[in-house]
Amino acid sequence: MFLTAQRVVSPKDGSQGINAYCYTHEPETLADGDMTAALDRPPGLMVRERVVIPPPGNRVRSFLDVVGPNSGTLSEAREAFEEFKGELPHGHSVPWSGLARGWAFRFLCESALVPVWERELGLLFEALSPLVASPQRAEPASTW
Amino acid sequence: MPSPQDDYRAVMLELLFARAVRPVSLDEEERFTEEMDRYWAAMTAAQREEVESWFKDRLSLSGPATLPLLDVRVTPAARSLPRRQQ
Repeated sequence: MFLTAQRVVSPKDGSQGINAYCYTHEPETLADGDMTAALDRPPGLMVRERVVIPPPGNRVRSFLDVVGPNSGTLSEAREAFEEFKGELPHGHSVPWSGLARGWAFRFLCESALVPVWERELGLLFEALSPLVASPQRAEPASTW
Repeated sequence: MPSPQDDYRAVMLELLFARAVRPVSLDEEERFTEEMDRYWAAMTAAQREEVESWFKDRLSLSGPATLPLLDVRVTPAARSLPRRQQ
């Protein structure tokens, strides 16, 4: 699966929030087992979303991309995420990416969010969580 | 029990996060500052030095001022990312 959460800000009224999406990979995308390379491949088929600020045209301020097996569970994703997070920062400049427990992660944010990267990364991951845990479309969450 | 430098760090990070995601009023800034001042006063010189060094490292991390990305609408069964280059 390919998961992505992105903080966006509306150009209309400045409201911001985190939208999240879940895709299922085509089997061939992960055939070579290279999860890191899969971050740069087509994401597959979008199956679930959690939209707080309706697109299009919002500016993206940060995002977290995650690649894992289509059958991956939330607890597996969370364990991998905690391991990835525990090894950050990878260098003094974002983006940061890495592989943990067979899951690949990539994080990028604007400079204003870099000093508070743990908080931002945690919020992005939490926005993804309902999409992994439940096959139903999640209820919108509160903004920021 | 958290130490004064842990509390100071937590409040400072809370302020930095608030500034990053929403407007922060002068009154609110003042409340943050007063709280930090209290923790600062409770710290030893060594603890202050440790906190300053921690923030110096933290603020040396960098990123682009803005990301050249806009979001796009994706519908169920779409095969594209929900963002594009500006």
